[in-house]
Amino acid sequence: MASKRLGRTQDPTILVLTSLTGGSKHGYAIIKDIEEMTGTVFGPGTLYGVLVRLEEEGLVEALPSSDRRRPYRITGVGSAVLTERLQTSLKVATIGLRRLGSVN
Amino acid sequence: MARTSITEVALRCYPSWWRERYGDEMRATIESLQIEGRSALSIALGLLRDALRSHVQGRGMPRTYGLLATRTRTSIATATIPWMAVIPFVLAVTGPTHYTASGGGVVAGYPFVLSPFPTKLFSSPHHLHPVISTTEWVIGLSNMAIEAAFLLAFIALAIGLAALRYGIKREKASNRRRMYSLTWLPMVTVLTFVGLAIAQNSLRNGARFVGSAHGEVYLGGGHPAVAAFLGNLEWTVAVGGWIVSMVALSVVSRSVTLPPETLRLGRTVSAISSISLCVTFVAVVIWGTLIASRGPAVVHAGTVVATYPEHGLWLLLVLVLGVATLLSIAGASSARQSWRTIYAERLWDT
Repeated sequence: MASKRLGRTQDPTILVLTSLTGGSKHGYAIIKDIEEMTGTVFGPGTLYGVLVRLEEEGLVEALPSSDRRRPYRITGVGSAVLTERLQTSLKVATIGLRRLGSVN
Repeated sequence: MARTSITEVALRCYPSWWRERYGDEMRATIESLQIEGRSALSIALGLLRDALRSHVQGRGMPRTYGLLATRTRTSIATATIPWMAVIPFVLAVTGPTHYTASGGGVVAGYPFVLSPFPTKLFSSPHHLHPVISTTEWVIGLSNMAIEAAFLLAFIALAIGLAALRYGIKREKASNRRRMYSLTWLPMVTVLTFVGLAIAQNSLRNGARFVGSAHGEVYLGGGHPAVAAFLGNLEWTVAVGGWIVSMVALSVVSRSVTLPPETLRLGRTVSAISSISLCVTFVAVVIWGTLIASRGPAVVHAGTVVATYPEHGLWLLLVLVLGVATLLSIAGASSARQSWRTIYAERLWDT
């Protein structure tokens, strides 16, 4: 596939934050949601690498849980950061597609 | 007996603080993925990669003095132990030299001998450095840089070990006595090595001059068998003692309790070791390249040329040294980062 030449173009951080905008989720649910959204297959190592970083930066927070599956939710700061990033991506995507002649 | 799965082994590679915080939920996620048929091997490989990253970056680590002090100590060990591991190899390859010159059979050494090893100056009559080509000068300067970097890091390590002993004594931890003894091992090794070398040389030099023929000097007497035995013992002590010292310092770095000022000095020592390795790496590359490009030593009229009998190992040395240097830089920068966090948040009060 030609797009593979560009390597991984979707930032895992954005994917995880986007997944959590649909409500709080535990690790496995995040992996499945991202797979359904984009077809990207995440391993638990990659997912938790991202979650640890997002939690440290205060963009997501862990919720209390009675069983082993701890859910995470996006914080207010996380929502603001994600909105800004998606708007930039949207702008770039719109300009790029327009120049390619794909959209009017 | 239950068989430990490959993913469980990979999980154990994470730092303990990480496993305490995320271990259970990670296991639950892995179990769900395996039920749907995800390969255990690919999961384990991903975990190993992330575990390595967690060790190196320490992301998500709780901000406590105990954890950050352990991280600082481990980082200091990661910066200094590669230096200890590789430096004997560096000196063994770059140290031995033979000097030759054509003018009147003069055999002379460089004017800038900066070496603790008595291998370099032979002169009879005393015609020192009649002519040295630019290449020979640069090779000699590279050699000197290697030895200077070695001495600097060696002194820094000795000071660091003294500070480590002081820190161990001050903290009065339960394992203090054992840790304190282990820190003496590098110094004991070096002193024993030097002592044996002196003893061996004095026995050898005790030999009497018995005559000369065709420019060769013959010595007799002395205690050649004892000197040879001491020589073997010297190298056994050097190699064995140095390896045991590295293991001992690894043990100390994992389990000793230290005050903040000792950690700060340790961070400086790790930076010096890392800089020393960088300098050594560059100097070895210059040294090896120039000798390789010069080819077999050809003595031109009046020119002093040094040949290095172990030069054939220089590419292997560059490879090993490169890995050690990268490890050392990673350790030193991690030690710096951990210490900065301790210092910025005044964690020793917690």
